[in-house]
Amino acid sequence: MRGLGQRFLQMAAVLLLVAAGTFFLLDLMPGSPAIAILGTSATPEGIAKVEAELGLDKPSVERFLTWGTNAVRGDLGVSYRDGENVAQAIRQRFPTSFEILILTQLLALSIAVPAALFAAARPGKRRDRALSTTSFALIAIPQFVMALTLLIIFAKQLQWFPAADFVPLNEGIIRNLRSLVLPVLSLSFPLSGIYFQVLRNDLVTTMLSDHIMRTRASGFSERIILLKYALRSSSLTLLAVVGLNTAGLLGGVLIIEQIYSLPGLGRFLFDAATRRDIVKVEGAVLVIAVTYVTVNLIVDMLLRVFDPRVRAASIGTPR
Amino acid sequence: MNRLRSFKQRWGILGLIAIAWIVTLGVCALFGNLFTSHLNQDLKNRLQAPSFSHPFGTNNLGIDMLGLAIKGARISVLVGLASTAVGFIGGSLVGLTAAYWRGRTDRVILTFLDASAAFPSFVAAISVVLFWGKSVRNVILVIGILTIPVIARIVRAASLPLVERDFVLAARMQGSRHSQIIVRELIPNVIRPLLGFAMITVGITISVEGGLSFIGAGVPDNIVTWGQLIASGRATVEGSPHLVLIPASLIFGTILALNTLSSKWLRGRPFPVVKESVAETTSVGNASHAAKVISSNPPTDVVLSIENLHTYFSTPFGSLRAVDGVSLQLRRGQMVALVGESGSGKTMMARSLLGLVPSPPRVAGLPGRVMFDGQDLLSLSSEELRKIRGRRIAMIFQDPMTTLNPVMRVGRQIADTATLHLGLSKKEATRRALELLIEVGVPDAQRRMRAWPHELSGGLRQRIGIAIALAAEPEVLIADEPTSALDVTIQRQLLDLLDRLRRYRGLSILFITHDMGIVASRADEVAVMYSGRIVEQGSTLEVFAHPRMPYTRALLASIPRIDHESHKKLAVIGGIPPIAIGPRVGCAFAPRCPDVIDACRTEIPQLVGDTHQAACIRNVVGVT
Repeated sequence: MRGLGQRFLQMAAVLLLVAAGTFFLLDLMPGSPAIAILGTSATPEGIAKVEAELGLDKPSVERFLTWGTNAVRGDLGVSYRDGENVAQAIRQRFPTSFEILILTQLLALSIAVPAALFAAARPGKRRDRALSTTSFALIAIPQFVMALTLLIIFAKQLQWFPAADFVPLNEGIIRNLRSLVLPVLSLSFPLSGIYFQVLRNDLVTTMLSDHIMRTRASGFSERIILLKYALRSSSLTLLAVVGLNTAGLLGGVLIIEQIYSLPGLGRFLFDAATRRDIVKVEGAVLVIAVTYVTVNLIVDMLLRVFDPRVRAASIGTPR
Repeated sequence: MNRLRSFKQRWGILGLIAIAWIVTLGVCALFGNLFTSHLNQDLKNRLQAPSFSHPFGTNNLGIDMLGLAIKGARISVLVGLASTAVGFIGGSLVGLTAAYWRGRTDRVILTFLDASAAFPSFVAAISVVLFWGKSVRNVILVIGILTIPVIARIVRAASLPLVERDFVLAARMQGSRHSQIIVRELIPNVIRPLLGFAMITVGITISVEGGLSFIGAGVPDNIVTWGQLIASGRATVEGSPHLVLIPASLIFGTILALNTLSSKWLRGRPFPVVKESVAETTSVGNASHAAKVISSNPPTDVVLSIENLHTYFSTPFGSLRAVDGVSLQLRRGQMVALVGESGSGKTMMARSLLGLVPSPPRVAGLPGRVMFDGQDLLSLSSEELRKIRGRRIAMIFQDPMTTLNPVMRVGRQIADTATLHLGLSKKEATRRALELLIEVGVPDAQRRMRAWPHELSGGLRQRIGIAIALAAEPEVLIADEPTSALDVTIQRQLLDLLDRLRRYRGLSILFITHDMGIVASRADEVAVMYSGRIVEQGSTLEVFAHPRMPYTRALLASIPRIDHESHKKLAVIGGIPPIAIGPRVGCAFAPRCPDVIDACRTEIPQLVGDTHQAACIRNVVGVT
């Protein structure tokens, strides 16, 4: 496959940028992690001693390179703050976050795709306008409000689902899924609004295109044209958008994790960042970025299989 | 009153509510401080539900929530506007740079954009606010910077196609400075769709600020925003849900209002929303002027008989007469050429036959019939018409690049049509597709079955288009400028192919073209179309030998001829085709006609003659 080598190069560049960006951003923040460890009453000598122990007296670039080479080998280091092995800590939280990511994407798509097809079959008509308004309403509800409302109605008042009582996957899939229903719903609703918009608009444009008119001239029914011909090319646009949301759903759902007390990467990252635990932050960010580039590589491969135009165009400069 | 009504029509009820909402919000943001300086604690009346004296209730300190909501509007709106501005200025710069310089610059920027998407940015924002310190300025900056990559992607995607457009290339060619081209040519063209998106972004950033406050990484605690109200209401959400729901609804309402406004506002613009033409719904008064049906009792070998066909579009300036009373007959095994300039209505006529006009194809009130096999195609239901399309009347189009499905292999596209109409099995359909490829002269057909459209040359693609059209063995083929995009050699090969198909399959072909030259030796009959009407028709020999209409003469004079001296100038028809809007007055060609007389401007010429007809007043009054 032509352009695949370039794709890998770009992936590596993305990972390097993310890792370096995080590292130096945290490193440039005022105050030494040693102060965070020793407290504000620390003496300069104490700080210097701790910094020497942790290797913090070495130049940033050297520390980053050491950390980077270890990370490539799978060693994400040990937290300065509590001595926890970062790789192990992340391994405990990653499955939950990943499960939420997959369930949320699936649910959002299974709401958005049928709705978009239904709306695009009669563009500009009442059903289309009603669905468009609904989708914007879903996008417009702030996420934390959605989460709180669902929590109060379905967990506290109706008690259909547990509130803030997460069950891991290995303790039974039914109970695990039950504990994830509300958080996944809160995350999926706004996302399905966005996916609906993307797919609906693409479908409407595709249905006006010349090759669809040719298909129509060949006598295919509108139903087949929409489901078989238009959806095929429009779903590719949607797929690309779906891939872009990976990192946000994996490590950025802090609010949902807080409201439903889920042991995910968002809270891990937040706690580490507020406590200036650089090693933990760096590890979590790297894992998220690796997942992101992997998911997007898969998306790219799918695009290449289903859209020959992508295969023809050189990577990075799609037209 | 009238202006008020048209204003209401323009925006609709929802739009007016949205405007009222935004205006109120603006007033609260600007002048809210005047009413809310006396917000006092009143611990005796804490956590009250909404009531007459406190329409929004009171919070845990007994402070009036209405007052707080008004007070909070100021900073919420400020954060929304300012961070959107940061995001748009930054994002536009990045996106335009990537799109304009492309190549390596574009790749580097894309990598950065990818990196920013690989980063859980919400958590990053929280940490940055916590480290820099909680302040309105930091919140604005952080949300704004977070928005940059999103906007940059959109700006880049919107400008990329523009950069390759002629007007930008022309500006580059003239040696304009890069900054000048970007400011003068690019920005005005991408800004409109972006402004709509900017309005939505304002709403969303207000909501993001809410999220930050909710986590405790928003504005300082002594500053009131809607997000902060939600965050502080969270502790008592079960007893007093109004403390969360009221500010949440304010954010919700603002986003909806901004979205409503932006979509209504964009709809009122010609760009970039593609406006669909709507076929005329009212009856046409001037139908009596339409040309008479050539023969009321058509001979039996006539396959397709178009009788007084009309296709109108309604535009903001009046109805556009795309096809204005066209009559034409196609006999078995015959090729009729329909010739005219672009804009003469020939393509619209072809599409009207099969109901492929991009809106309700045929609306009651317009006269005309299209007789095929004893039935009027225009009166068929869409389901009945569908069974004729492709099966009995097939079409080929001008640009096979855009009319072939780019994401399907060509063999499959042919086979699908065969399966649809002939009920073939997958295997049979594949074999049929291969046979067709061989028949239309695709070399190395077995391998080409699995080719994608973009891998083939223009000539081959058009052969594929013909193979798809032939898949169900139709009786009639409508060819809409099938060779115009191809070079002369390929043109000739394809015309030979169509000629062969006509002879051996008895296919009847309606061949639409702007090129008089290529029909000369192949068509049995020629019909010349101008401004939606047929102005001359007859056997090819007669029309070429004795053109009666000045327009036909002009078309003939524009054909390059071998027997002319090589440096002889080709005749060019001056002026442009008229836009057929408004009542028809006189001959449409009169403004460009070299032989115009006074009567031409007042009388509408009718087609006269027996086998060779022309619509020219001078033929009637005897001036030659």
